[in-house]
Amino acid sequence: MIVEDSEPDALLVERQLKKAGYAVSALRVESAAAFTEALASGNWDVIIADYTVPGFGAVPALEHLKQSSLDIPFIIVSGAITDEIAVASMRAGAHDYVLKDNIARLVPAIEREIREAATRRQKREAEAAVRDLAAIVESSEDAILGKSSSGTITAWNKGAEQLYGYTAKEILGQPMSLLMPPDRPHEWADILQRVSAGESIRQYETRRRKKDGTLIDVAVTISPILGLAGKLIGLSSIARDISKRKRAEEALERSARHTQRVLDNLTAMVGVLSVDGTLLEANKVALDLAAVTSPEVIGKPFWETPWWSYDPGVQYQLRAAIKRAAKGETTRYDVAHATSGGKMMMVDFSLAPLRDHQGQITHLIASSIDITERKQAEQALRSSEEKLAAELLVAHHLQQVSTELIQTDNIEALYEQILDTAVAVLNADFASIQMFCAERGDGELRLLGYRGFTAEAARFLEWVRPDSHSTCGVALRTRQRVMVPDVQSYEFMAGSADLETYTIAGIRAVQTTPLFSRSGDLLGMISTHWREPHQSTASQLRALDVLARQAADLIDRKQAESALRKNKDRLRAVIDNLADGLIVLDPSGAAIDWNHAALQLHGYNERGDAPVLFSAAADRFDLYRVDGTPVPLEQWPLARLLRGEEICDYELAIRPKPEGQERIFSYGGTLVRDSDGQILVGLLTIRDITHWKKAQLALVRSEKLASVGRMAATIAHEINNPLAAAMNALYLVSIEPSLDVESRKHLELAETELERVAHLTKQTLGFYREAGTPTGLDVPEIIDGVLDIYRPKLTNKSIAIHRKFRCTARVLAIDGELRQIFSNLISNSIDAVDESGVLHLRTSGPHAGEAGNSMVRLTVGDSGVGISEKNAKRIFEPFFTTKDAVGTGLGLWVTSELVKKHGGRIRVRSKIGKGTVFSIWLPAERRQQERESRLGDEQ
Amino acid sequence: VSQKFILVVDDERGVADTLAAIMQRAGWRSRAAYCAEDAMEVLRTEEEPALMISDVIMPGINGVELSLQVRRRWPKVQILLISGNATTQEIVNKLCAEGHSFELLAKPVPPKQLVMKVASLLSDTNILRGPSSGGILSQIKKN
Repeated sequence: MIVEDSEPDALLVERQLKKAGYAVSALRVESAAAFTEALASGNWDVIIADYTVPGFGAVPALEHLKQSSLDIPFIIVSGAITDEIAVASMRAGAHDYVLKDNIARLVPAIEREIREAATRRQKREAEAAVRDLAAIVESSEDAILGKSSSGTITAWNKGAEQLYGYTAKEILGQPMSLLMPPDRPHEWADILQRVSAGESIRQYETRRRKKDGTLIDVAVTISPILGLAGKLIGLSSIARDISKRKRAEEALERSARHTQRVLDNLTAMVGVLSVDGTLLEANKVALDLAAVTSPEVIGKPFWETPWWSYDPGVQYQLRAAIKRAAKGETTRYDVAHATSGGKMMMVDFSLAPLRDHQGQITHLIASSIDITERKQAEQALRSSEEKLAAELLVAHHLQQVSTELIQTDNIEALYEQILDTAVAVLNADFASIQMFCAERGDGELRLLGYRGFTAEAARFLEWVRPDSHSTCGVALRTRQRVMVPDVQSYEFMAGSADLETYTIAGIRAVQTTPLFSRSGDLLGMISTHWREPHQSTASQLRALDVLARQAADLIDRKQAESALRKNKDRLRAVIDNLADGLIVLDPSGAAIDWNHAALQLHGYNERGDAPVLFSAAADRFDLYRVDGTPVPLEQWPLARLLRGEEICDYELAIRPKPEGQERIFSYGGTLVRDSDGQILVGLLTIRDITHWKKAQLALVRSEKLASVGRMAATIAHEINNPLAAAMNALYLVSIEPSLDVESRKHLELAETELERVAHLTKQTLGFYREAGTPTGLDVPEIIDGVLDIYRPKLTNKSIAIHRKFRCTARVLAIDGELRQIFSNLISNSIDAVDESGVLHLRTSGPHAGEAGNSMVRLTVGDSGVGISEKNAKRIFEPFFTTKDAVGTGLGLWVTSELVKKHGGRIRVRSKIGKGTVFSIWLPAERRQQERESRLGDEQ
Repeated sequence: VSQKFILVVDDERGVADTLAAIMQRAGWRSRAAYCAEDAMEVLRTEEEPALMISDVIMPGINGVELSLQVRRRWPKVQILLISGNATTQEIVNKLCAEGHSFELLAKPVPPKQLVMKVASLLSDTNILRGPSSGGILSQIKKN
């Protein structure tokens, strides 16, 4: 290409080249656009440019050429050129410049530059080739490394870095041994030797060590690198990681082995067929069944293998199945296989297609499962239907027993049920159930119930002792089941009375099964008996064991219940017979039980009358301390108990509302808790200490009385002597005949008064401690004597005395005691009446007594306040008093005791506001009675 | 005329003397002793009485012991005990139960009753009717 604005100059250049022998194909361009177009379209050997072209020129052309990256020789031709222009042109990229006036230099310059350009191109191409190769090496996934003949690593690509974990920087210059596993110390020497001998090692599988120490499987290709002189200067090696492949291979192998093992260990027979039905593989079970080896059968059509009978029907059925399987259908049917022993085996055969991951059917799988046993079991099942029905019946019986065991309380009926079941289960003729009574003798068996025996035979079985020769006796000693299939041949029984009993009862076979509680105690026996020799089957005995378990549970439970009930009854009896009252409270404080004593103490007849709630009790009773101070509700025994206080000897007075008799109770209380500390019940005990408490008070009083009595006796003696002397003296004076009338009157008065003194001392002081044998006493005299003592009181209260003594007999009594009786009654009457009251004193009799003796009735009545019916019942009790301030509560008790001591009796009749009458019956004196009755007859 | 002899025993001299006087006035011979020992001495050395009236509670030998001794040695002597103490009655009852017989009167005994009792014991009803005792009888009748 010629860049020239002058045609003749261009022709001049052409001519120079043609002259030098070149075939010239030239194009003259004089603009940038033409230059660029020519560059793109042509394959130019050289560009010759005039330095100066209007609008263009060599320097702009050089710019365009540089942009095109083409390496074309560029020579500037110019008319005149300065050194500056030449330097600028060369700097811009021109290869040479030639002056027009020295045009001859053009051709050699062109030739040289074309050569240079060719050299440059070759070099460029060689460099590109090396560069490409390096890129290939670098980008290879295989590890490519170079090493010197001494083993130093000299090259290391990315693949090597990835495979071994070392970067090029780390490994270059390091010895090859870094990569060698410790178990192959000589491998490198071996390789070096082989490669030195000119050998190339291809795809050598070995193992290398990674940077992290793990070992990898690699395939290595090692080649020698030869120097110019053909001398070995290094080795190149290409290593490929084959761990994955290795593992995959191993897995495949394992899987194949595993599959084979699975197949061989299957109880099913398995065969692998090609889609056309050729047998490819058969497992061990299948081979063993036909006693063949795989070479004998592999490759044959499946239907011609020895497993199949050569029956055309069977073969046809199998071939049809193969066809269906090849189309993707599974076929399954029961069929017979022939076995090596010539027997037929029933199998459940199935043929199914095997598809690859693309769903393509690649093989067929045949499998057969031995169903001979199942078929036989089905057969056996059918044949034992009858037996099953029988066992069901037994089970039904047993279930019924167990149901009733839970539901029924009628133990006798349950014994019957158990006996019936025993008979049914064991197909027996007789049965008996016995209870073990450990406390009798050395432990004996008592008959509870029986089946089939006559009452007479049953009597023989009533009690069985451990020395008995019966099966029961043996079982009692051994604690184990005893079965005697034939009593006639049972040595132990030979000649015994028990054998005779069996014979008489018609028994030939017996079994006795002991019954044990779940804790292992012997409870009793269940026995069954047969008229003919008999041996029970195992299943019958199993059913019997179930029955025995139930019977044992029944006896155990009933015994426990009975013991519990007995315990409960006993406890109830104890509680009810406690002298102390006992109230049982629930945790809320409601009274859930009162024992008899508690009811009685509170005046209730029945439990239903007693209050349940505390508030109800508070409504019915006043509670206060013994000294009379009130007790607030929160200090009531129940309230204290519910607060958790232990109550002990809490003494309180209690009085039923509105006005009952005061009693003094000593309360005790305790809370009964369960193991968790929860309150189960509260127990409130009540002891009536009224008597004791009043006795305490009375004791103090009676001590005083006793001392008064002692003093009285002494005083009486001391008074009596001077009194007697005075009386005697007065008497002596009074009988003096010379005494004038006036003096005699005075003496008589003195005598009378002294006698009254004597009488009073006798009455008040004399009868203390006076005792003796009963003598006939004149009742009116005694009564008058007593009245004398109370004369002042009677006068003061203007009490009228009405006597009516109609008794004709004397009373057989002790003087002092009779006086005391009247003294007490009259004293009470005086207290009971108001001013101007009336006392009635009467005697009557003798009356015929209950024991055939005659009794005198003595009555002391008054028009006083009367005694309430309730109090009337109690007035003869010791220490009972309605006169708290002055009474000892002993008067009427002493009176009734004295009356009783005399063989008499005392009764009271009273009406509130009207008055009270005490009647006393005392024995009459016989002699007097006779005398008086005679007198009575005369009247 | 042999008047019956009565021995009166009481540690209270006033009582013993007055009783002896009353017995004499009633027509009997009498003698007072002030203790059991004295009484025994009279019996031994002087005269056996028809009747011995004795207190029971006395220092030394008491009336019951005295009676038992007298009863042993002089069984004919009748004995009348007088006591102001209630327990005496129990003792006498016990003795009676053992076969002895004593009469016992509670002290103080009104003199008229005593005279009548003694007369009945000695079966001396004439005493009550006798001239010297007319007053007594008349007194009794009055009552």
